[in-house]
Amino acid sequence: MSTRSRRLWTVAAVHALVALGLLVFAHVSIRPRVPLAFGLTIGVVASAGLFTALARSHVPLRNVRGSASTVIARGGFFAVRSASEEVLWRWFVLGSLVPAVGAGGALVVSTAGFAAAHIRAQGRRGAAVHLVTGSVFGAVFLSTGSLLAAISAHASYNLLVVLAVESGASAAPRPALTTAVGRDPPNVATLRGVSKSFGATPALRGVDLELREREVVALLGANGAGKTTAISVLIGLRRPDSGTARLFGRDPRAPVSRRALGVTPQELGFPPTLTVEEIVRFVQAHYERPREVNETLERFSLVDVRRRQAGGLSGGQRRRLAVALAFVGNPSLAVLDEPTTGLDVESRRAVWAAIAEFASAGRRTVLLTTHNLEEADALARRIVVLSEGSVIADATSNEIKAHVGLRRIRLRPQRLPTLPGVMRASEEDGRLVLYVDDTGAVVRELVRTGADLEQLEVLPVSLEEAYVALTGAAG
Amino acid sequence: MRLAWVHARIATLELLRYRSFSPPTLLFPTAAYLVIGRRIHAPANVLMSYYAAFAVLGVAFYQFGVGIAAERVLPWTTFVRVLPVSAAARFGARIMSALAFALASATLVVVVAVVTAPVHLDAGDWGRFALAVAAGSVPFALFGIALGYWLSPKGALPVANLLFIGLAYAGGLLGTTAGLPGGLSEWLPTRLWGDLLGAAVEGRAWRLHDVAGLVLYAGAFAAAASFGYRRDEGERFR
Repeated sequence: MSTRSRRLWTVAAVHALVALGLLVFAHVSIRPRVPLAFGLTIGVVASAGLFTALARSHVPLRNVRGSASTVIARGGFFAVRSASEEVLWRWFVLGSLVPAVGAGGALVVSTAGFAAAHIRAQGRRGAAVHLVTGSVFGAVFLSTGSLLAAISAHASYNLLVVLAVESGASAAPRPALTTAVGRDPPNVATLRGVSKSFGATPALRGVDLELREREVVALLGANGAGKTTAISVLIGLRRPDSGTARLFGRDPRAPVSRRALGVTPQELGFPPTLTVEEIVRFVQAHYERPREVNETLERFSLVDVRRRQAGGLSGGQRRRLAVALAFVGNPSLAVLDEPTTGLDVESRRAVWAAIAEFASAGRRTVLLTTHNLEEADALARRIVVLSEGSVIADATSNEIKAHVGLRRIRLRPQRLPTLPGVMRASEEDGRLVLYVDDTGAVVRELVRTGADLEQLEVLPVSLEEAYVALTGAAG
Repeated sequence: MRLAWVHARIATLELLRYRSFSPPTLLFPTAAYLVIGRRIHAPANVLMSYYAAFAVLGVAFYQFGVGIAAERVLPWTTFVRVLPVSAAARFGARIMSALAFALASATLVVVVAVVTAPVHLDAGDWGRFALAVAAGSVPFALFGIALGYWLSPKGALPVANLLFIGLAYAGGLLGTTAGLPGGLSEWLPTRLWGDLLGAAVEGRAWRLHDVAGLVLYAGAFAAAASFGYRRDEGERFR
């Protein structure tokens, strides 16, 4: 339990004890005049009316990010506190004053005391709000004669306020973008020195990644290279072991930081009984300035299946729905996890067109993961290669292309003449390995110089191997 | 608040379409009332209130217990976490959706009871009855949440079944505790709830003993739910 929750519970316990003491030792002549259920209903109706009337004046006491236990603690705390305040101000003060000064006078005095008691914690504005709420709770108490009715009014009013504050209704949005360094476009998302292990297995080792406005970045890497973990940290699903993650200048784990973020679901798991249109509308409802649902369905060729339940979709349709969900909120940053895996050529082109169209308008940024170099080349200017949890390359697609034409030539170890176009030579597993860009030229040269060709092999080089070869980064 | 409503609507819609969920959850308590309850010699008011509570108890265990256990491992739940929505709104939505199912299920019992048995309550007693059902369901909803976070998706259903039927029977909510040792029932939360309901529908005053007992249970279950939630968050989203 957090310190905050614990403190709230402690204060609530003290309140409850004081209220119990007053109830037991005071003697007040007010008796219920209406059935309990009727009194409780009056209380709840009064609280709803109060909440509506005062909606604009609610001062969020503290702008707390609502974890479940904090919400429960705050809810419980306010319920207990409203009960104890009603016992004190209505039952005890108001109830004892009525015989002495009459109902009207007692209401005025007790409400003034109630409001004054809140000046210290909530200032004049808070005290003014309590003048209004106090007189309503007092009126409920006097008209029903029921302490429980007054408590129900107070407690349900407090609960409404807590819910309104916790759900972020009164949290003012801050400008989304913060830093702008020099003439670079503003920063959208950052990983700085992020490391993350699962048990003894490191998934990320000190990853640095910066996304700027109007960039399309492809994250490439083999399975297990750390792509998914890097994205999970960036979008707030996981906490880095060390290093920091920032999304629009904030902690990505806070919901407000994700207001302008669109994401594709992983593993394409949709609720099987919901229809395509229901899912799209559900996701759309989370954003302030979303795209039209119809336009989104059209763009991703989902119009024909809009009323089909997600459980009955084909692989290609599920994939297109996943990408549509990342765009329907009209986000500033779209994070797409393998947006075209499993799509036929036509659908793939359509998704590419949608991504390109999205990226071309306004201040948008796209981060996508892919195994497909062609896709990265078609969409992204900048390509980041992850290998074993480290960024081994961060370059333009042209630079990448220049390197991926490499081949490996393996030979029996021997002394070789100087050869043309060998980017790097090394000895691996007792064989001599040459990384070359023009295989024909090298082989012709080997033949011409009479090299030992008995175990000669020509092998392709993966993107990662190309980078290992070129940078000598990993062994 | 608006987002909580959106989430509650979609969750209810989703569950309604599962043929294996809605009919059993909604109809089972009424069927039990007709098959078992009507044969028990007890006041009609009391039996109706017990079976309405039985209906709400089922929703608490299945929708919170089984529902949370099954959902928390789904990739879709992970996706929803990434949407710009607070944990409080998602939690509120779950409560609203459960309320809708509990209301439907309990209303069915009440309607059937009013039609088939000599149930007599005046307006004030209906109010107290509704309040007793609603307030008494809080500890069980918290119990359900705790189960959902502590049990594995596969283990949740059998454990929830066992606890649901076991607690309901041993607490006397089915109208009889035949075959059980006498002292056991006294300390069960379902028994306290049943006493609260019985007092409401028979026009007796509520006893501090029952209310305080339920509050204590609610506190214990809330703590278990809170620790379970934290443990789960720590494992999957650390």
